[in-house]
Amino acid sequence: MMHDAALTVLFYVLGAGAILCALAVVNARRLLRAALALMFVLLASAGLYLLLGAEFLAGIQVLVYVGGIVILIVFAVMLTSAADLLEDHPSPGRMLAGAVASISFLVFAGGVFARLELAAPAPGARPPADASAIGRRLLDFGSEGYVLPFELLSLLLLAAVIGGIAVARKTPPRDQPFTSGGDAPGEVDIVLPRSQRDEPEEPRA
Amino acid sequence: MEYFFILVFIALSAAFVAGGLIASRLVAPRRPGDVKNSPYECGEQPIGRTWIQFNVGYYLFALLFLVFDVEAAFLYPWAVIVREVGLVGLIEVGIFILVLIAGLLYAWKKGALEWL
Repeated sequence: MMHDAALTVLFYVLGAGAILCALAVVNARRLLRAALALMFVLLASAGLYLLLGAEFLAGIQVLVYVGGIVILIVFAVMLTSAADLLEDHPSPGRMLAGAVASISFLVFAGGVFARLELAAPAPGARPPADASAIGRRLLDFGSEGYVLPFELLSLLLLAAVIGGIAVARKTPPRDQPFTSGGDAPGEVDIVLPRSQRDEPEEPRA
Repeated sequence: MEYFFILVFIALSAAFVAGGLIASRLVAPRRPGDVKNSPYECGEQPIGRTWIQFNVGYYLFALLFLVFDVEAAFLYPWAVIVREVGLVGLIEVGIFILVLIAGLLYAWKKGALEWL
Protein backbone atom coordinates (compact mmCIF):
# COMPACT_ATOMS: atom_id res chain seq x y z
CA MET A 1 0.00 0.00 0.00
CA MET A 2 2.78 2.35 1.01
CA HIS A 3 4.68 1.26 -2.04
CA ASP A 4 1.80 2.06 -4.39
CA ALA A 5 1.34 5.47 -2.81
CA ALA A 6 5.02 6.25 -3.34
CA LEU A 7 4.76 5.22 -6.99
CA THR A 8 1.70 7.42 -7.46
CA VAL A 9 3.49 10.38 -5.92
CA LEU A 10 6.49 9.71 -8.14
CA PHE A 11 4.22 9.56 -11.20
CA TYR A 12 2.74 12.97 -10.45
CA VAL A 13 6.14 14.46 -9.63
CA LEU A 14 7.58 13.23 -12.93
CA GLY A 15 4.51 14.31 -14.89
CA ALA A 16 4.49 17.77 -13.36
CA GLY A 17 8.24 18.06 -13.94
CA ALA A 18 7.80 17.09 -17.59
CA ILE A 19 5.03 19.67 -18.08
CA LEU A 20 6.96 22.44 -16.33
CA CYS A 21 10.09 21.73 -18.35
CA ALA A 22 8.01 21.62 -21.54
CA LEU A 23 6.69 25.08 -20.69
CA ALA A 24 10.28 26.19 -20.14
CA VAL A 25 11.16 24.86 -23.61
CA VAL A 26 8.67 27.13 -25.32
CA ASN A 27 9.17 30.11 -23.03
CA ALA A 28 12.97 30.19 -22.78
CA ARG A 29 14.51 33.32 -24.25
CA ARG A 30 17.69 31.51 -25.15
CA LEU A 31 17.71 28.57 -27.50
CA LEU A 32 20.32 26.60 -25.58
CA ARG A 33 18.28 26.87 -22.39
CA ALA A 34 15.29 25.59 -24.32
CA ALA A 35 17.39 22.63 -25.47
CA LEU A 36 18.46 21.94 -21.88
CA ALA A 37 14.85 22.06 -20.72
CA LEU A 38 13.94 19.67 -23.53
CA MET A 39 16.53 17.27 -22.15
CA PHE A 40 14.76 17.30 -18.80
CA VAL A 41 11.38 16.73 -20.46
CA LEU A 42 12.78 13.64 -22.16
CA LEU A 43 14.41 12.41 -18.95
CA ALA A 44 11.17 12.83 -17.04
CA SER A 45 9.29 10.85 -19.67
CA ALA A 46 11.97 8.16 -19.44
CA GLY A 47 11.14 8.02 -15.73
CA LEU A 48 7.45 7.67 -16.60
CA TYR A 49 8.25 4.75 -18.91
CA LEU A 50 10.14 3.11 -16.06
CA LEU A 51 7.12 3.51 -13.81
CA LEU A 52 5.05 1.75 -16.46
CA GLY A 53 7.51 -1.14 -16.47
CA ALA A 54 8.82 -0.39 -19.96
CA GLU A 55 12.47 -0.62 -19.05
CA PHE A 56 13.78 -1.12 -22.55
CA LEU A 57 11.87 1.87 -23.84
CA ALA A 58 13.21 4.00 -20.98
CA GLY A 59 16.75 2.95 -21.84
CA ILE A 60 16.22 3.78 -25.50
CA GLN A 61 14.69 7.11 -24.52
CA VAL A 62 17.83 8.07 -22.60
CA LEU A 63 20.21 6.61 -25.18
CA VAL A 64 18.64 7.99 -28.34
CA TYR A 65 16.62 11.03 -27.34
CA VAL A 66 18.63 12.46 -24.46
CA GLY A 67 21.99 11.33 -25.76
CA GLY A 68 21.38 11.88 -29.46
CA ILE A 69 18.48 14.09 -30.46
CA VAL A 70 19.20 16.81 -27.92
CA ILE A 71 22.85 16.89 -28.98
CA LEU A 72 21.74 17.18 -32.59
CA ILE A 73 19.47 20.08 -31.67
CA VAL A 74 22.29 21.81 -29.82
CA PHE A 75 24.53 21.40 -32.87
CA ALA A 76 21.78 22.75 -35.10
CA VAL A 77 21.48 25.79 -32.84
CA MET A 78 25.23 26.33 -32.94
CA LEU A 79 25.22 26.05 -36.71
CA THR A 80 22.85 28.95 -37.10
CA SER A 81 24.63 32.16 -37.83
CA ALA A 82 22.34 34.51 -35.94
CA ALA A 83 22.24 34.38 -32.16
CA ASP A 84 19.15 36.53 -32.00
CA LEU A 85 16.77 34.03 -33.45
CA LEU A 86 14.16 34.67 -30.82
CA GLU A 87 12.46 37.91 -31.57
CA ASP A 88 11.15 40.01 -28.74
CA HIS A 89 8.18 41.09 -30.78
CA PRO A 90 7.44 38.61 -33.52
CA SER A 91 5.53 39.98 -36.45
CA PRO A 92 1.75 39.32 -36.50
CA GLY A 93 2.16 37.02 -39.46
CA ARG A 94 4.54 34.78 -37.55
CA MET A 95 2.35 34.79 -34.46
CA LEU A 96 -0.60 33.80 -36.62
CA ALA A 97 1.40 31.04 -38.31
CA GLY A 98 2.55 29.75 -34.94
CA ALA A 99 -0.98 29.79 -33.56
CA VAL A 100 -2.32 27.93 -36.60
CA ALA A 101 0.43 25.33 -36.38
CA SER A 102 0.02 24.68 -32.68
CA ILE A 103 -3.79 24.64 -32.73
CA SER A 104 -3.89 22.27 -35.69
CA PHE A 105 -1.44 19.98 -33.93
CA LEU A 106 -3.60 20.09 -30.81
CA VAL A 107 -6.70 19.21 -32.83
CA PHE A 108 -4.87 16.42 -34.65
CA ALA A 109 -3.41 14.94 -31.47
CA GLY A 110 -6.73 15.24 -29.68
CA GLY A 111 -8.51 13.56 -32.60
CA VAL A 112 -6.07 10.66 -32.63
CA PHE A 113 -6.34 10.28 -28.88
CA ALA A 114 -10.14 10.35 -28.96
CA ARG A 115 -10.33 7.69 -31.67
CA LEU A 116 -7.76 5.46 -30.04
CA GLU A 117 -9.35 2.46 -28.40
CA LEU A 118 -6.95 1.26 -25.81
CA ALA A 119 -8.04 -1.81 -23.97
CA ALA A 120 -7.65 -1.16 -20.28
CA PRO A 121 -5.28 -3.78 -18.93
CA ALA A 122 -6.25 -5.75 -15.88
CA PRO A 123 -4.85 -4.11 -12.77
CA GLY A 124 -1.30 -5.23 -12.20
CA ALA A 125 -1.09 -7.11 -15.50
CA ARG A 126 1.64 -5.88 -17.77
CA PRO A 127 2.60 -7.14 -21.20
CA PRO A 128 6.09 -8.59 -21.29
CA ALA A 129 8.23 -5.59 -22.17
CA ASP A 130 11.74 -6.79 -21.51
CA ALA A 131 14.28 -6.82 -24.29
CA SER A 132 13.96 -10.52 -25.09
CA ALA A 133 10.17 -10.27 -25.52
CA ILE A 134 10.63 -7.27 -27.78
CA GLY A 135 13.29 -9.12 -29.75
CA ARG A 136 11.01 -12.13 -30.29
CA ARG A 137 8.21 -9.94 -31.62
CA LEU A 138 10.60 -7.86 -33.69
CA LEU A 139 12.06 -10.80 -35.57
CA ASP A 140 8.87 -12.87 -35.82
CA PHE A 141 7.54 -13.68 -39.30
CA GLY A 142 4.03 -14.44 -38.14
CA SER A 143 1.03 -12.14 -38.06
CA GLU A 144 1.99 -11.03 -34.55
CA GLY A 145 5.53 -10.22 -35.63
CA TYR A 146 7.12 -7.00 -36.73
CA VAL A 147 9.88 -8.16 -39.04
CA LEU A 148 8.68 -6.07 -41.99
CA PRO A 149 8.55 -2.80 -40.03
CA PHE A 150 11.95 -3.73 -38.62
CA GLU A 151 13.46 -4.04 -42.09
CA LEU A 152 11.63 -0.95 -43.34
CA LEU A 153 13.13 0.92 -40.43
CA SER A 154 16.58 0.45 -41.89
CA LEU A 155 15.34 2.11 -45.09
CA LEU A 156 14.01 5.00 -43.02
CA LEU A 157 17.38 5.38 -41.33
CA LEU A 158 19.08 5.20 -44.73
CA ALA A 159 16.83 7.99 -45.96
CA ALA A 160 17.78 9.99 -42.87
CA VAL A 161 21.48 9.59 -43.60
CA ILE A 162 21.16 10.57 -47.25
CA GLY A 163 18.74 13.41 -46.57
CA GLY A 164 20.89 14.79 -43.77
CA ILE A 165 24.01 14.77 -45.93
CA ALA A 166 22.18 16.34 -48.84
CA VAL A 167 20.78 19.11 -46.67
CA ALA A 168 23.83 19.78 -44.52
CA ARG A 169 26.34 19.71 -47.34
CA LYS A 170 25.77 22.61 -49.58
CA THR A 171 28.34 21.54 -52.05
CA PRO A 172 31.41 23.78 -51.90
CA PRO A 173 33.37 24.75 -54.97
CA ARG A 174 35.73 22.06 -56.13
CA ASP A 175 38.84 21.51 -54.02
CA GLN A 176 37.61 23.86 -51.38
CA PRO A 177 36.87 22.51 -47.97
CA PHE A 178 34.04 23.56 -45.74
CA THR A 179 34.89 26.45 -43.52
CA SER A 180 33.70 27.42 -40.16
CA GLY A 181 32.23 30.82 -39.91
CA GLY A 182 34.22 33.88 -38.94
CA ASP A 183 33.61 35.95 -35.90
CA ALA A 184 30.90 38.08 -37.43
CA PRO A 185 27.88 36.58 -39.14
CA GLY A 186 28.52 36.19 -42.82
CA GLU A 187 32.27 36.44 -42.39
CA VAL A 188 34.16 33.38 -43.49
CA ASP A 189 37.58 32.20 -42.45
CA ILE A 190 40.07 32.04 -45.26
CA VAL A 191 41.22 28.48 -45.66
CA LEU A 192 44.34 27.84 -47.66
CA PRO A 193 44.33 25.00 -50.16
CA ARG A 194 45.82 21.90 -48.65
CA SER A 195 49.05 22.22 -50.62
CA GLN A 196 49.76 25.65 -49.11
CA ARG A 197 49.13 24.75 -45.53
CA ASP A 198 52.16 24.47 -43.31
CA GLU A 199 50.87 21.70 -41.11
CA PRO A 200 47.84 19.49 -40.82
CA GLU A 201 44.99 21.51 -39.47
CA GLU A 202 43.88 20.75 -35.94
CA PRO A 203 40.23 20.02 -35.42
CA ARG A 204 38.48 23.19 -34.46
CA ALA A 205 37.05 23.37 -31.02
CA MET B 1 11.33 -0.92 -6.49
CA GLU B 2 14.67 -2.07 -7.85
CA TYR B 3 15.07 1.45 -9.20
CA PHE B 4 14.65 3.05 -5.80
CA PHE B 5 18.40 3.28 -5.30
CA ILE B 6 18.87 4.89 -8.68
CA LEU B 7 16.37 7.52 -7.60
CA VAL B 8 18.33 8.05 -4.39
CA PHE B 9 21.50 8.27 -6.44
CA ILE B 10 20.01 10.92 -8.77
CA ALA B 11 18.67 12.92 -5.82
CA LEU B 12 22.01 12.78 -3.99
CA SER B 13 24.04 13.76 -7.04
CA ALA B 14 21.70 16.67 -7.77
CA ALA B 15 21.99 17.76 -4.15
CA PHE B 16 25.78 17.45 -4.36
CA VAL B 17 26.03 19.77 -7.36
CA ALA B 18 23.45 22.22 -6.05
CA GLY B 19 25.11 22.23 -2.63
CA GLY B 20 28.48 23.11 -4.12
CA LEU B 21 27.02 25.94 -6.17
CA ILE B 22 24.99 27.34 -3.27
CA ALA B 23 27.86 27.06 -0.80
CA SER B 24 30.27 28.89 -3.10
CA ARG B 25 27.68 31.59 -3.71
CA LEU B 26 27.21 32.06 0.02
CA VAL B 27 30.83 31.87 1.08
CA ALA B 28 33.01 33.03 -1.82
CA PRO B 29 33.97 36.72 -2.00
CA ARG B 30 32.83 38.52 -5.15
CA ARG B 31 34.95 41.32 -6.58
CA PRO B 32 34.07 41.52 -10.25
CA GLY B 33 36.19 43.66 -12.54
CA ASP B 34 36.53 44.36 -16.22
CA VAL B 35 39.19 41.73 -16.66
CA LYS B 36 37.37 39.13 -14.61
CA ASN B 37 34.13 39.67 -16.51
CA SER B 38 35.70 39.29 -19.92
CA PRO B 39 35.22 35.91 -21.61
CA TYR B 40 38.14 33.57 -21.10
CA GLU B 41 39.88 32.72 -24.33
CA CYS B 42 42.99 30.91 -23.15
CA GLY B 43 44.62 34.15 -22.05
CA GLU B 44 44.20 35.82 -25.43
CA GLN B 45 42.37 39.08 -25.91
CA PRO B 46 38.82 38.13 -26.85
CA ILE B 47 37.99 39.01 -30.45
CA GLY B 48 34.52 39.56 -31.79
CA ARG B 49 31.31 38.13 -30.47
CA THR B 50 30.99 34.95 -28.49
CA TRP B 51 28.55 33.52 -31.00
CA ILE B 52 30.29 31.90 -33.91
CA GLN B 53 28.92 29.62 -36.52
CA PHE B 54 30.22 26.13 -36.03
CA ASN B 55 31.57 23.91 -38.72
CA VAL B 56 28.81 22.00 -40.47
CA GLY B 57 30.93 18.90 -40.03
CA TYR B 58 29.80 18.64 -36.42
CA TYR B 59 26.22 18.33 -37.55
CA LEU B 60 27.01 15.62 -40.06
CA PHE B 61 28.88 13.61 -37.47
CA ALA B 62 26.06 14.04 -34.96
CA LEU B 63 23.55 12.91 -37.55
CA LEU B 64 25.55 9.84 -38.49
CA PHE B 65 26.06 9.05 -34.83
CA LEU B 66 22.34 9.28 -34.23
CA VAL B 67 21.47 6.93 -37.08
CA PHE B 68 23.87 4.28 -35.88
CA ASP B 69 22.79 4.91 -32.30
CA VAL B 70 19.26 3.96 -33.30
CA GLU B 71 20.62 0.97 -35.20
CA ALA B 72 22.47 -0.23 -32.11
CA ALA B 73 19.33 0.24 -30.04
CA PHE B 74 17.46 -2.09 -32.38
CA LEU B 75 20.24 -4.66 -32.35
CA TYR B 76 20.02 -4.94 -28.59
CA PRO B 77 16.75 -6.96 -28.43
CA TRP B 78 18.18 -9.29 -31.04
CA ALA B 79 21.42 -9.73 -29.12
CA VAL B 80 19.50 -10.87 -26.05
CA ILE B 81 17.86 -13.76 -27.91
CA VAL B 82 20.53 -14.43 -30.52
CA ARG B 83 20.80 -18.15 -29.68
CA GLU B 84 17.07 -18.59 -29.66
CA VAL B 85 16.38 -17.12 -33.12
CA GLY B 86 19.48 -18.62 -34.71
CA LEU B 87 20.25 -18.31 -38.40
CA VAL B 88 16.90 -16.77 -39.39
CA GLY B 89 17.40 -13.93 -36.95
CA LEU B 90 20.94 -13.46 -38.17
CA ILE B 91 19.74 -13.10 -41.77
CA GLU B 92 17.02 -10.65 -40.79
CA VAL B 93 19.46 -8.50 -38.86
CA GLY B 94 21.99 -8.91 -41.65
CA ILE B 95 19.57 -7.32 -44.13
CA PHE B 96 18.91 -4.54 -41.65
CA ILE B 97 22.61 -3.82 -41.26
CA LEU B 98 23.37 -4.13 -44.98
CA VAL B 99 20.91 -1.35 -45.80
CA LEU B 100 22.56 0.86 -43.22
CA ILE B 101 26.01 0.03 -44.51
CA ALA B 102 24.83 1.42 -47.83
CA GLY B 103 24.15 4.66 -45.98
CA LEU B 104 27.58 4.59 -44.40
CA LEU B 105 29.18 4.00 -47.81
CA TYR B 106 27.20 6.91 -49.23
CA ALA B 107 28.41 9.17 -46.43
CA TRP B 108 31.94 7.94 -46.97
CA LYS B 109 31.77 8.48 -50.71
CA LYS B 110 30.37 11.98 -50.25
CA GLY B 111 33.27 12.82 -47.97
CA ALA B 112 31.08 13.40 -44.94
CA LEU B 113 33.51 11.41 -42.82
CA GLU B 114 36.48 13.58 -43.71
CA TRP B 115 37.37 16.30 -41.32
CA LEU B 116 38.29 19.39 -43.22
